[in-house]
Amino acid sequence: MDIQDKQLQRLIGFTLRSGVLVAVIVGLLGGAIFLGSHQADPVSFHTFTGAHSLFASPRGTVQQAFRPQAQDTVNRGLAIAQIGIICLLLTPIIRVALSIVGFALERDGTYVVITAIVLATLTCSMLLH
Amino acid sequence: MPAYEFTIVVFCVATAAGLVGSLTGLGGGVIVTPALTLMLGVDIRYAIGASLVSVIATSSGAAAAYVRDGLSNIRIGMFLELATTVGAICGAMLASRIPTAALAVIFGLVLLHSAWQTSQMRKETGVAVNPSPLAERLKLNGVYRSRTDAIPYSVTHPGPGFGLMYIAGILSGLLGIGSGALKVIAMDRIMGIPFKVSTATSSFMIGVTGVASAAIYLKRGYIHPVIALPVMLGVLGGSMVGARLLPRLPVPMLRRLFAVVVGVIAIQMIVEGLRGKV
Repeated sequence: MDIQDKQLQRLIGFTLRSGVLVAVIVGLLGGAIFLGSHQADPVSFHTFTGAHSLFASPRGTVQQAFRPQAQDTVNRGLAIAQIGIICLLLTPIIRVALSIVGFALERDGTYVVITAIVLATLTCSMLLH
Repeated sequence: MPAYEFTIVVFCVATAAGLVGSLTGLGGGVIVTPALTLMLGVDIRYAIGASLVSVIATSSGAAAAYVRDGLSNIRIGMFLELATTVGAICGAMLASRIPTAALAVIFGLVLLHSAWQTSQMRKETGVAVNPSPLAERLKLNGVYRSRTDAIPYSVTHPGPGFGLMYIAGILSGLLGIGSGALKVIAMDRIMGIPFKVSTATSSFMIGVTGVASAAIYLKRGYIHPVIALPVMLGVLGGSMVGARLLPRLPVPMLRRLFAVVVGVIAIQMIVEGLRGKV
């Protein structure tokens, strides 16, 4: 059975759609800034060196986008694009959190617990190295 | 390759992958990775990172529509996500510990199986004969609305289904794919859930499963914006166009045609992996 509360259903649908929309808009903005100044830079992904460490954490990415340090060599546009991607990654997590609210409204204790475990697993994955 | 040229090429490849992925029902992620590695020589780790991002984007987009249709069963989805998310974390941890050549071979095998799977004619499974007490207790049984009436269904074998979902999660985290094909097998074939409900529920689960490994990918540097962004935009665009075209195209014929193409790509992936070229 699906979550019965119509308002919550709408909210979940809205969250999913806006997550994708934000990722596309912010991504396009960042991509345009990057290509605007670096369109001729050679890029190669034949060998794996890993994305710059600043892109490997939300905090580093946000810092790079809004307060770039003079010595940083990473492009600001790319940091903005990465923020778009991180927004996208957050939407399913918000969806799971909203589902907990939905099950609580239906007084379905079993599913509040099951959904909370899923949310905890997702949180764990962010703490793993 | 200069950055703008690379962006355009990757975007076009990803759009084509999204289109084929949605027309075949395989999903864009499983097509875009071999396209990037075999055609453009991109390291498979960047490819699976970018592919996973695109998989989460398409899943979220599709799930938003399914929420309205009332086809997806959120209780089945959430129960099975206990297995897929843990599996995805295990898969993502494993991905950095095994050689990329092995990743390519496993990818090829999974792709080959999915191609074979979609080329098969699907027989509508009947209503589960012996609904399980556990499914009853977990309120997994449900009702879905077809065009004319409401069809009740019950769920059987939740245990084996759960186990297969764990494996689907591992493959998702290992290869940066949605594992939609395996998820549908677990629900449709094993748990006796109607095909429409299985597909809708699988599509909503893919995003949550994907995110469990995405955080690990991000930390490992697999998600690089220069490649992940055009892949995400391309796959998203391609699959949206595909979904629009779907009702107007001779789908069974297309599926068989693409199944052959995807099968060839899969074999190429295995060969390149065995030769140590990926």
